[in-house]
Amino acid sequence: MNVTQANTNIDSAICLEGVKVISGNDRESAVASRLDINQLAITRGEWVYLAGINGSGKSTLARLLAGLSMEGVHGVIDRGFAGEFPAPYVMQQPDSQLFGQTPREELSFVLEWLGLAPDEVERQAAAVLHRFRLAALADEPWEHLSGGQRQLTAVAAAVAGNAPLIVLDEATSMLDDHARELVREVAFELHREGTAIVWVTQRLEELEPDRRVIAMHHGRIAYDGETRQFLYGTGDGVSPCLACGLRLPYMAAVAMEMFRQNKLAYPLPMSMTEWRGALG
Amino acid sequence: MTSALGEDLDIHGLTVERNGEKLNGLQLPCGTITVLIGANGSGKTSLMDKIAGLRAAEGVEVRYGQAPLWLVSGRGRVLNETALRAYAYAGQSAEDQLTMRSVRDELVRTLKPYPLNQEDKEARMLNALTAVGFDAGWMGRIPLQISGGERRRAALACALAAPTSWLFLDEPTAGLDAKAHELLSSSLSGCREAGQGIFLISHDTDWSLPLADQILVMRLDGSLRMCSKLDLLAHPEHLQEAGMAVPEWLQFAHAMYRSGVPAEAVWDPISLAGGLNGQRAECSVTEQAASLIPTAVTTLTQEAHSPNRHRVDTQSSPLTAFDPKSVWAGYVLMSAGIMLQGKWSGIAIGALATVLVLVIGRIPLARWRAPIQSITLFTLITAVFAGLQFSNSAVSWDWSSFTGTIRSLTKPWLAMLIGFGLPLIITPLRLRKSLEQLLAYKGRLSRWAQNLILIVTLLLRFVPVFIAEWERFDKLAAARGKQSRLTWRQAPGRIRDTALPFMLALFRVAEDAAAALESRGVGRRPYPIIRKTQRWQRRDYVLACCSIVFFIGMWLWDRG
Repeated sequence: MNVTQANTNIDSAICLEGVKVISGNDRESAVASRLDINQLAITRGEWVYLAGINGSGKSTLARLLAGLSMEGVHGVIDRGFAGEFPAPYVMQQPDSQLFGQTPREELSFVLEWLGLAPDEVERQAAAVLHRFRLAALADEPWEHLSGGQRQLTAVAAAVAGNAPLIVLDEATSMLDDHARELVREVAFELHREGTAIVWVTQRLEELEPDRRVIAMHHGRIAYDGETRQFLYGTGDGVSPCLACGLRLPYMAAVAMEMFRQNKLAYPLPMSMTEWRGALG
Repeated sequence: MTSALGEDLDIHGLTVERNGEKLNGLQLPCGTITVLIGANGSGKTSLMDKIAGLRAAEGVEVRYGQAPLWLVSGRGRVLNETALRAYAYAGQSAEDQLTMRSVRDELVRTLKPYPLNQEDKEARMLNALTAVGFDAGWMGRIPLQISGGERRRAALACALAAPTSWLFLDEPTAGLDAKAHELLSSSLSGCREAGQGIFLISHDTDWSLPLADQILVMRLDGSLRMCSKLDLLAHPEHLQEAGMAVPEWLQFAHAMYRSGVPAEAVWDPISLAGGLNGQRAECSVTEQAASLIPTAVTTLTQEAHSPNRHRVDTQSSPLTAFDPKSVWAGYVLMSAGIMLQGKWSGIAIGALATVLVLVIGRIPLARWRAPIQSITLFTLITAVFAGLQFSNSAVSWDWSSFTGTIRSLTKPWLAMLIGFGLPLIITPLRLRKSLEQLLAYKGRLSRWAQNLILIVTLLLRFVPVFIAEWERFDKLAAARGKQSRLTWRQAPGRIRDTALPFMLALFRVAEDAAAALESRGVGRRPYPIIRKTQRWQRRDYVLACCSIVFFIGMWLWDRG
């Protein structure tokens, strides 16, 4: 491994420079690398969507940003504000990331590793469970909880540490709409409080206007910019999201087609409120 | 057998509401696409599994045309192979099942239960590959060396290749790219034209609902509402009633429909765009549409966390209130007391005590039914063999050897019954804490003890995950094998079909768990300092004393 860990400063951005990830058996083959990033910076408190189809390299990048160790990484990584320890990282499947037997045990496990005193562990665990509306289920074993409730616990466990960065890798893809909305709300709230969020998703209808989205394709950054421009392009009717193999969501597809038929002009609407304005 | 097409699917024993009418089942015609939607945990996958005979029917009766799914024979209910051959099944993440040496081998495996000639087989395999956007060159590709999305497409090709009346797909598009979405919708439409019935679970609603001929909305209590696409467009509140939120796109489509855009045009974004006028023209339809768009995203009407309806209401054991160490000590003393006994009277007292502990401690033995049954059977067989006396080609029966064996094997059997309760009562993390406190010296643990305790407790934690993965692959192998019961000759094949993907899944779980542990700081941060959090309370001392008294009493009884 040739990773240079640059000097970290608590207020500086997370910076990746010339980072490549080459998996063991790929070295000989024509497929160059799982990940190939020229330059990427994420500043303190930023909200970043990370989009791409399966196998585009978005999970590899997410794990790298979270500071998890990985085979075959080359390049310069400055962890900046995220600090020396890995950031909380939530995956799609709840079962491989829960280590306790009940939601309360899970949170105690996390908080203990952060070195908190037992009373503090108990107090904070209760507070986080309440925030995620899991208080009533706090002492139920996993087999009494639905997949969505287990996943919610995994997110709660990630939030419990008050980390400066949280990476959610398609964390809501197994959740139903209610649970997904709850996780989104908590993530927005944390972001307002100054936590940087990396939100990995394939569901483009989740994208909020005026936020940053990085789209991956074949291990490279295919787009890095504003969400609206990612869906609708710069005015020529060509959507950068299609170039990454992603499907344009229903409402965005309507907007694009209306633009093509000369019925709507840029900026094209993204939210329901904007649609009201656009049609009214 | 020329074609298995044309068999309607009859399902009985379900509560279904259709046009305000309550029915006790439903009939899904061939040549249609049915989309099943519902909130998490409402039981969509279980329903599909029941229809496919991959899980106990629980009162759901299924017929494929004339063929019932279950046959009643002398030895109980047996799956009907004709019915099993009437469907192809691609479960969630169906690609995890593919471990053979080539895509071709996978296709051949899927077609094995069907009596087709070689020519037909080749044609079906090629058609299936074309349907997912592959060409003949893909036959030789190695499933484990292609990307995840390509593997999913190969798994879907397997499902499409089989000559079945029905196609069951559980979340087939999760994680696929735009092109694969389009390919799949056109090949599903093609299957429908050809007379195949399709039963689809998908939360990709803006992809799946436009395809549907009928929609089943599953409510949290497991009952169904059967409605048309148009019903759902006119009444999106059907979803809320089933504990789901109405997706934003459907709220939008609903507003467009109410403002006068014809329903057929609403499902397709392009034709919808054609029917709307934007800010560049004046049109009443559009203005009305705009006023109908809800300003606020649907409010969460229902509490998101109603406890799972499948939960088994086992009351937790009163033993959880004790310190794990006192429970362990009690167990060791009690089983030692039972093991000491040489006389029947002592064993009877031990058995009585065991029953008391099981009842008072509310130890849920049901979960261990299988091992208990097999060990009991083993005990009896061993005793019978001990009782049989073989001498000079004559067989005689010796009661004393028989009862002697029973006597010595009953003692560990009793101890085992109590022992089965322990892991249910003492969770791995509680055990870890307790062990740490036991082994720590001045609040510090040696490195090897830390690692050992962590490894043991995590292993215990993941046993149920591994069992669930095994069951998943066993289910997938059964759906493909189409055998009503396993014969000795087929067993190795079935085990192979289950075990290989299972091993790969273990690596995946291990990798994910390692990442999750690392992100929690385990291994990177210093091991938490062990503090005394659990103190022995009076009840712990009482339990320990009772156990000691029991042990001494049993010891005296045996000697007296």
